[in-house]
Amino acid sequence: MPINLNPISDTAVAVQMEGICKSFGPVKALDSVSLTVEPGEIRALVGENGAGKTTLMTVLYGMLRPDRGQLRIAGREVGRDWSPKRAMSAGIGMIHQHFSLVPNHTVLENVLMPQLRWTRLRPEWARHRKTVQGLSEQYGFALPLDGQVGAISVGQQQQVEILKMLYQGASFLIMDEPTAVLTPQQTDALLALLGRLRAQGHTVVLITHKLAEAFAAADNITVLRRGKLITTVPCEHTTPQAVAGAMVERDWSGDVDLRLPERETSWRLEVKDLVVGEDHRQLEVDGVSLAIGPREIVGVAGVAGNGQTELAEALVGLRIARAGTVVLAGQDLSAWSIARRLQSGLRYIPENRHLNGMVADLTLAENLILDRSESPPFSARGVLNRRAMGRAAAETIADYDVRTPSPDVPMSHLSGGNQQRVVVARALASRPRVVIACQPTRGLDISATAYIRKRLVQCASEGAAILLFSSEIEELIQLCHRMLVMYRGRVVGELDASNFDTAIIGLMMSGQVAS
Amino acid sequence: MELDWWLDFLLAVLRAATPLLFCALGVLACERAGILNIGVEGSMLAGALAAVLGAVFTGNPWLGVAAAILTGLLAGLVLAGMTVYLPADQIATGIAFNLVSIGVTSFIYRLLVEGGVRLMAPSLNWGQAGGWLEPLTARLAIIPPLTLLALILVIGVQVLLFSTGPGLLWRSVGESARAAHAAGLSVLRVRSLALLGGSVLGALGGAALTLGWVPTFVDNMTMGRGFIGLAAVYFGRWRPDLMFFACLLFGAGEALAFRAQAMGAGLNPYYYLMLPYVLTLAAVAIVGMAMGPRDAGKPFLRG
Repeated sequence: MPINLNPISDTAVAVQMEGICKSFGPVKALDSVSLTVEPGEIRALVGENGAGKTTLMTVLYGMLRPDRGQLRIAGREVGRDWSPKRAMSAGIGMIHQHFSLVPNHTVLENVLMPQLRWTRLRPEWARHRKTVQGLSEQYGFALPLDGQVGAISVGQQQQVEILKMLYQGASFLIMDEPTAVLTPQQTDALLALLGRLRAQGHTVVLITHKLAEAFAAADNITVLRRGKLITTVPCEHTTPQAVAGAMVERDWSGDVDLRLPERETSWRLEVKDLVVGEDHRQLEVDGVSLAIGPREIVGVAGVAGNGQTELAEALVGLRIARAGTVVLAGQDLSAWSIARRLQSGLRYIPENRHLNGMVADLTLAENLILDRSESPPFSARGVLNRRAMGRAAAETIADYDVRTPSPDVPMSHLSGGNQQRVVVARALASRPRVVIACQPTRGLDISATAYIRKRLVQCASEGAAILLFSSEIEELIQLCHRMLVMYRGRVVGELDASNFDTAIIGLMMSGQVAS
Repeated sequence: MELDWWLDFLLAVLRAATPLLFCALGVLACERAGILNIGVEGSMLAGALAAVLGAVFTGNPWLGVAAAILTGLLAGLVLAGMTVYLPADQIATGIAFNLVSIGVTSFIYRLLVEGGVRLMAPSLNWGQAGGWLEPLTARLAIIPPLTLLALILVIGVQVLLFSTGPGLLWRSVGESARAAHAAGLSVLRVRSLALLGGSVLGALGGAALTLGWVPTFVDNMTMGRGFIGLAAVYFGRWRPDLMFFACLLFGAGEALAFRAQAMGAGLNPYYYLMLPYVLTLAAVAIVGMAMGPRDAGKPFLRG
C-alpha cells in the first residue's frame, strides 16, 4: 500500500448519512438521523450521555450496522459490507475514547501495525520509520518512536492514535471525547492540533459534551438529543447557552439553585496529622489535619496526584494510614475495618466507579445495596430480600431519574451518567453522617452534573458532613462552605466561601502561595 | 564420568525435551495470539495414539507422524470452534478436552488391541525417510528427525515473532485484540489458525513421545507433559529462545529421573519420577509473577 506523507485535501471525503435508525432492544439509540459533513470542516457533535453521538459515528465507521438508513461517502452509497476496514481505506479513521493501542509494543510498532500484511514477511522498517518520524515532526509531536506505549503519558498516547490514523492516510478523523482523559494544557494542545489538521485539509468530527471545547475548535455544531438530530448550526451564529438549551429537554438555566445550609459549629469528622505513604519515598499524605461539621461541605482542591486520592482512601479505610487519627463524632475510627466505618455512617463516592464503585456484571438493584446487603431490610438471616431490593431500586430510579429498561439489568448496560447516578444514590441513601465524595460529576453531562450537585447539597442540609474532592474549581466554588488546597500531600491553603478566588486557588494548587 | 556418558546423557535430555518443545511451542503460538491452550495435553495424548496406530498399521512411522498431524488438526478444529467462535471459557474447555481425550484414546486403543497384545510402533529414524535423502541423513543420524524439526521450529518461530511483519501482527492479536481488530485484522481467524497450529504442535509432541522414545501407547501416557510445556512457556517469558532452555531443563529432569533409577541409587523410584514435576514447580515458583500477552485467555467478541 502506498503511503501518503501529506494526505492533503484532494482525498478529503464528504460524508452523508440519511435516515439512520438503530435500536438496541427496546431503546432507540438513533431515530432517523441525517447528517452531512463537508470536507475540511471541524464538526462538533454534542449531546448528553446516551444521546447517540458515539453510536452515530460507529455506524459511519462501519462498526455498527444501522437498522435503516443510507450512508454516502464521496457521493457513493456504501454497500452492506461496510466495515472499519473499508471505512479506513475510504480515508475515515476513528479514535475511540478507550485507545486501541498495544501497551507492550513501541510507538513505531503501534503506528505501523495497521499497515502490515500477513504476506509481507519483511516490511521496509527503515523507510517506515523515516516516514513516521517525518509525519510526527510535521504535527509537532515529540514521540519516542522506540518507547513502549504503556510508558508514555495519556496525552502522548492520543498523539500515537492520531499519528496511526494519519499514517493510514485518514483524512476524515472521528474523535470520541478526546479530552476526557487530558489535562487542561493537553486539551489546549489538542484543540490547536485540530486547527492544524484542518489547515492540512483534513475533516474532523469531535464528539464531546463540553461546550467550551466545541466552541473553541469547531466550525459547526450538531446537537443530538435522545437519538434525534436537533439542529446543526455554525458556531459563530449561536451561543453556548442556546446549544446547552438544545441539548437538554427541560428548561435549563446555567446555575442550579443551591442554597447551602447553615453550618453548625460542632465537628462531625476530625482528622489529625494523618500520614499515608511508604518509607524512603515521598509521602502521599504528609500530616493532613482537617475538620468538618454537620451540614457542611468542605472542598479539597489540587492538581491530580497531590495526595487527594490517598487521603480519601485513608479516610474510608481502603488505605492504612501510617500515623494520625480520624475521629467520627467523638469515636476514633483509625483502627476500624471498612465495614465498621460504613456501619457508623461513613459513605464513599469513589473517583473511579469502574475500579471500586460498582460491579459491572451485577444488576442495578444489586449494586444499589452492595454496602448494605447484610442489614435489614435487604436481608434477613443471611437471605436477600429481593422484594425490598426491588422497592429500593424503583425508588432510586424514579428519584434520581436513572434511564434504564429495568432495575434488573447489569450495570454495564447503563450509560456512564446513569451508572454514576446509581453510585451516588447508594452513597447518599440511608442518611449518611459523613460522605467522602471524589470527583462525583467527572465525565457527566450537564443535567446529570446539576442533579448530582443538587443531591449533595440536599444531603448536607439533612445533616451530613461532606468532604468533596473535585478537579473542577467551579464545582467547589459553587458547592462548598470552605475549601482546602492540597499540594504535595499537605494542605497548603484554606479559604472561606467569602473569599474564594480562582486566581489565588490556582496559585495555591501550584504550591506558590500559602494562606 | 566418561565423555560417552555425557554425550549419552545429552542425547537423552534432547529426547526427553523434544515432546516438551513441541507442546511448549504449541502453547506459545496460541498465547501470542491470545488463546490459553490448556488443551495441549489432550492434543498430545491424541497425537501419541494416532502416531502409534498410523505407524503400526501402515508399517511406516513417517505415516504415523502424518496421522498425528491430522489428529492435531481435528483437535484444533474442535478447540477453535468452542473457545474462539462460541466462545466458551478457554480454561474450562481445555480441561474438559483433556479429560475427554484420556477417555477416548484409552477406549480406541482397547478397541484395536486384541488379547492384550501391546502394539509396538517402529521408531522413527532417518533410514525410512527415502534413499534420496541419504547423503544428508547420514550426517544427521545422531539427531532424531522430530528433534531436528523441533529445533528448526523454535528458531523459526523466534524469528517470525520478533523480526517480521506478520510476527508483529500475531503478537498484537495476543496483546490487544481490540487494537488488532481496529487495525482491520480478523482476530477470530488469527486465533483459530493459532489454535490449529498449536494443536498440531501438541500432537507432534505426542508423536515425538511414542515414535521417538516409548514405542507404544499406554493409558494417559503423556502424564502432564503438556502442562510441563505450558510451564516452560511461562518460565521462558513467552519467548521461544528462553522457552527452549526451560524445556532442556525439564527434559534433563526427566532424563535424570530415568538414569538415577537405572543406576539404582537406592531410593524409592517414585522420588525420581517426581523429579521433573518438582523441578517444574520450583522453576515456576522462582520466576514468580510473570506477565504474558495481555489479552491471553480473554475471549474476543466482535462489536
